[in-house]
Amino acid sequence: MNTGNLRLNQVRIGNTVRVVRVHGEGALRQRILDMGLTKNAEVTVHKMAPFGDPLEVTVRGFQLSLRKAEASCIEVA
Amino acid sequence: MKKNIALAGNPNSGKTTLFNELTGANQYVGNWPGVTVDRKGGQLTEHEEIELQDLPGIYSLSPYSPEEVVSRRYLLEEKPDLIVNVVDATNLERNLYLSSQLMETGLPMIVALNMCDLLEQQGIKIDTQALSEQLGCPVVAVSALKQTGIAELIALMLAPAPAAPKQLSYPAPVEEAVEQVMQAYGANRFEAIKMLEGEELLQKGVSKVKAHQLEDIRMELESTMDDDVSSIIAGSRYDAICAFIPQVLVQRGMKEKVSQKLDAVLTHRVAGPIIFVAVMYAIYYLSINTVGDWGTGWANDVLFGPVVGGWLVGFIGNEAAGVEALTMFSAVLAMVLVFPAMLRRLHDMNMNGAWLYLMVAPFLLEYVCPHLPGFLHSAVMYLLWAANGALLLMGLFKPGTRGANNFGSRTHRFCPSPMKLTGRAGRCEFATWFVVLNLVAFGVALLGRSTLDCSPQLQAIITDGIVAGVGAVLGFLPQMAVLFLLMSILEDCGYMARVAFMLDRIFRAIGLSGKSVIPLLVSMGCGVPGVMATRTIENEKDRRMTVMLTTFVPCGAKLPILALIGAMIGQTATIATIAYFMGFGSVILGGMMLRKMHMFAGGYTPFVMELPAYHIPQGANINLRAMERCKAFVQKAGTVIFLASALIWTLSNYNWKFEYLNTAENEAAIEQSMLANTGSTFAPLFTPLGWGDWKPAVATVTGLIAKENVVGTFGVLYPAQEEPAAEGEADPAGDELPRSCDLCKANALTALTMATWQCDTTARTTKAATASEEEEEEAAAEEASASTGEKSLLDYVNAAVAFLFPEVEEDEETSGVAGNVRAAGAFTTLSALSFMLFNILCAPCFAACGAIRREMNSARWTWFAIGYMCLWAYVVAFITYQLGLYFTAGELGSGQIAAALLSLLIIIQVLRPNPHRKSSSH
Repeated sequence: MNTGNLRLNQVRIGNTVRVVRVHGEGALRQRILDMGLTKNAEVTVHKMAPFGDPLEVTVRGFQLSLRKAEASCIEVA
Repeated sequence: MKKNIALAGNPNSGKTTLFNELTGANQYVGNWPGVTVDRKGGQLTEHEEIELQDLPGIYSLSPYSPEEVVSRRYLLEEKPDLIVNVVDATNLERNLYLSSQLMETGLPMIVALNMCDLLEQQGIKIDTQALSEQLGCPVVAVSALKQTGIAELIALMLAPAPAAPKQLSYPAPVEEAVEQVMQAYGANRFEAIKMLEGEELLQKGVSKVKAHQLEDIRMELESTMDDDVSSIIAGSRYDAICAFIPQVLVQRGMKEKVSQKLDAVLTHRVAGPIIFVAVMYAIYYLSINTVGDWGTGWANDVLFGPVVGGWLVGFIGNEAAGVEALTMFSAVLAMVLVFPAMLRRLHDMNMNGAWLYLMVAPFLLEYVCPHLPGFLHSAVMYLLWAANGALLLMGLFKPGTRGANNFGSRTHRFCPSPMKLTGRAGRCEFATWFVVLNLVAFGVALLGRSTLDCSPQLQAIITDGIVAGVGAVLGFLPQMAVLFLLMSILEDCGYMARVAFMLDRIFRAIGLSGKSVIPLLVSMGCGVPGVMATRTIENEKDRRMTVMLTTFVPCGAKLPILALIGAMIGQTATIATIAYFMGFGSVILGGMMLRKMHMFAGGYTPFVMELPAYHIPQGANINLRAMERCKAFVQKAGTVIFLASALIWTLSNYNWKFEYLNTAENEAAIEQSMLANTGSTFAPLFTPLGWGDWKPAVATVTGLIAKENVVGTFGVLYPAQEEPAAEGEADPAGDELPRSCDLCKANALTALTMATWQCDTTARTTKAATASEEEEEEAAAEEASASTGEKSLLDYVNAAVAFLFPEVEEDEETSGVAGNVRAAGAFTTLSALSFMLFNILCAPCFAACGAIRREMNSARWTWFAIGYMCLWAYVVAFITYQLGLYFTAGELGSGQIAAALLSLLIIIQVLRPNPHRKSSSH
C-alpha cells in the first residue's frame, strides 16, 4: 500500500479534500462506500469529538461521524 | 385480492412516521427470524387488502448488517408486489443510492419523496416530474409530518403496479462486466452486480470453473478501472445519480444549514460535554423530582385516593383501605392493557386444553380442595402447581416455531400502538399464561366478595401476593413515562447521535461503544427499557456486552434496598455513594474484563454513523416511542411480577404437605414454609459473604421478582421484637391496615417504600413524629460537624451523589424494618454492606431477565449473562466482606487469602493488554 499518501485522519480540521481510494476490507469498506465516500467525492473535515476521537465530516451534504482508525482507510488528496 | 407492499428507505428518512400515517392502528410488531430486528407490518387504513411491510432503515443492500440482510431476503425471496421507497429530499444523493439498488431488484417501485417542505425552506425545489423520468417510476412528493401528499401516495399504491423502473447506466466497462456475468450465470442484474462485488451469499451454487470465470471478469474490470470492484460499483452508482441531480433540482439560493450551527455549540470540545451533563440532569430532575412526582402525587392523592380507592374499598368490602385499593386498581389496569393481546395469543396457539385448565383450576382451588382429606388435598395442590409449572416451562423452552413463522401475533384493534413485548409468540408466553390464570382467579375473587364468598387463602394470595407486587411496579409509571418521553424527544431530534459521537472515545476505552450511553442512562430509571434500548447498537458483540453490563447500574427499584441498609448502618448517604460507585464501577471493570474474553474479541464493526440533521421532534413519533416503552414496562414488569409474587406468596404460606400456614396471623409459622426450607438449604452458600442465614437468602430470592421486595421480605421475616404500639399509632398508613395482617402490611410497605422514592410529598405524609425526631437529630449532628469545621472528603462525595442522583430517603417504614433487623442482630455493618452489594449487582429482577433473554435472542447467552452477573456480585461481596474482616477485626485466614487472590486476578484481567486485539491497520 502506498502509505506515503494523505489519509482522511491526517487532514486538518476545516479543510476540504477529495477521496482518491478506499482501502480496508469487508463490512468497513462497504459501509464507507455506501455512505458516499467514493472516488472523487468531496469531504470536509469539520471537527473532532470532545475527547479526540471520532471525526465529524460532511460528505454529499450530510454529516457523518467516523473513527480515526476508520478514516485512516480513506486515501485523500 | 391481497397486495404486499414493502416500505424501504434510509434510516431517518421519515419512514416510520409515514408507516404510522398509512397504517394507523392496524399494526403489529414481531422479530425477523433469527435476529433482534423489529419486523413491523400493518394494513393500510381503510384498505385492509393492502399489507404493508416496514423494512428496517438501511443505507444499502449489501449483506453486512442484519438489517440489510433481512431487507434483502424479504425483497428477493418474498417478492412484494410493490416497493414504496421513502426518499429524504434533503439528502437526495445518499437516499437515491439505495433507490438504485432497489431498482435493480426488478420489482415495481414508487418513490415517496419525503421532507420536501424542509428543502423548500432552504430555498430548493425538486422537480418530481423530472425525477420520475430519470428513475422510470412514479414519484410523489409527500410530507409525513404535515400529512400532505398521502392521499396521492395511497392512490398510487392502490392502482395496478407500475412497470419495473429503469436502470441507471454505469460506465461502459462496468456495464460490459455486468452483461458478461448475467450471461454466464443466468443471473438478473441485481444478482450479477452483487456477484461482481464478491458476495459469498450468491456464489454458493456456483461451480469452480464458473467461479474462475467470475474472477476473470472481476480482474479485468479492476485493471481497466484501476480500483477495487466494490469501489467501482459504489462510485458508479453515486456518479450516475450525481449526473442527473442538477436536472431535478430547482435551486433558488442556499441558506446555511441550521444543524451545523447547532453542532458548533452542542458538540463543542468544551461546551458539548457540559451541555450533555446539564441535559441529563434536567431529564432526571424533571422525571424524578418534578413532573413525574406531580403525576405520582396526583395519582396517589387524588385518583387512587378518594376517587377510585374509596369506590374499590366499598366494592370489595375489605377492611384494608388506601394502599391496597390503589394496588388492586393498578392490577386491573395492567390486565386491561395486556388482555387483548393475550386473548389473541391463546387463539393463535390453539390450545384448548389450557383454556379448560384455566377455567377449572380456580374452582378446584376454591371449592374442592378445602373439603378433601389431607392426603388428597396435597395431591391436588401439587397437581395444580405442577400444571402451572408445566405451562411456565413450556412458555420458556418450547421451540418458537409457530411464533417465528407468525412474526408475532396480531394485536387487538383497540390497542393503539404496537405491542412490542407480546410480538414474539413462543418466547414470553409464560407470562401471558400466568396472567390469564391469575386473571381468572382474580375475577373469581372479585365476584367472591359478593357472591362466591371465596376462601381467605384466595383473598390473601390476590391482595397480599399479586396485587401488592404489581401495584408497586405501576406506582413507578408516571416517572417512567416522563423519563421515556424526554428520552424519546432527545432521540427523535437527533441529539442522541451526537451524544454517541461525543462519548464514543470514553466508552471505547472500557470496551463499549458510544451507543452504549443510552441504555446505561435509561437503566438508571429501570433496567427493562434500558436493556431494550440496546437495540440501537449495531455491533452484536457490543450489544451483548451492553446488555450484560447495563443492569449493574442501580435502578429505581434498588433504591429501597439502599435506604434499608443505610438505615441499618445509619449512613444512608455513604451507602448510596458506595452503591452508585460500585454499580458504575462494575460496568467499567466488566467492560474491561469481558472485552478480553474470547467471545467478545475481534469482530470490529465500523462506527461510521450518520449524524442526522436536527429537526423539531415530531409529536406522533415521540408519543409512539414513549408509549411503546411504557407499555413494555407495564407489560413486562406487570406480568412477570404478577406470577412471581403469587409463587413466592404460595411458597411462604404453605408447607410441603400443602397445608395453609396463614403467616398473616401466625408469623412464626413461616419457619415451616417451603420458602424457609428451601432457603435454609442454599443459605450456607452465603456464609462466606457474612449472611449465611436463610432469611437474607430468601430476601435475595424475592428480590429477583422486584428488587424492592427485599425490604418487604425483611419486614415479614424480621418481625418487631415487642409490639411497637406508639410507632404504629404515629403511622397513618399503618393505621389503615388491618392489624392482624402483617404480611399484607409488609407488601403495602413495599409499595410505600416505592412511593417514598417516587415523591417527596408522599414520603412527607407518611413521615411521622419519629421520623421528624430523626431529622432533628440529623440536623443537630450536621450542625455539630459544621461547627467543628470538619467535613471529610466523603461528605463532599456524598453531597455530590445526593445532588446528581435521586435522593435515597428513609421513611418511617424503612427505618422501622431497619430497626427490627438491627434488633435481631442479624447483620454487622460489614455483612450488611456485603448483602447490599450482592443484591444490587446480582441477577436483575425477572422482568429485566426477560428483557435480556429477548435482546440476546439465545438461551445460552441469557444464562451466561445472568451467571456472569451473579458470579461478579458474589465475588465483589466476598472480597468486601473478607477483606473488610481483615481491616476491621484483623482476621486473617483462608477467606482473606482467597479474597486477596481474587482481587489480584481482577486487577490482572483489567490491566493486562488485550490478547485478541488485532492492530486496526489494514
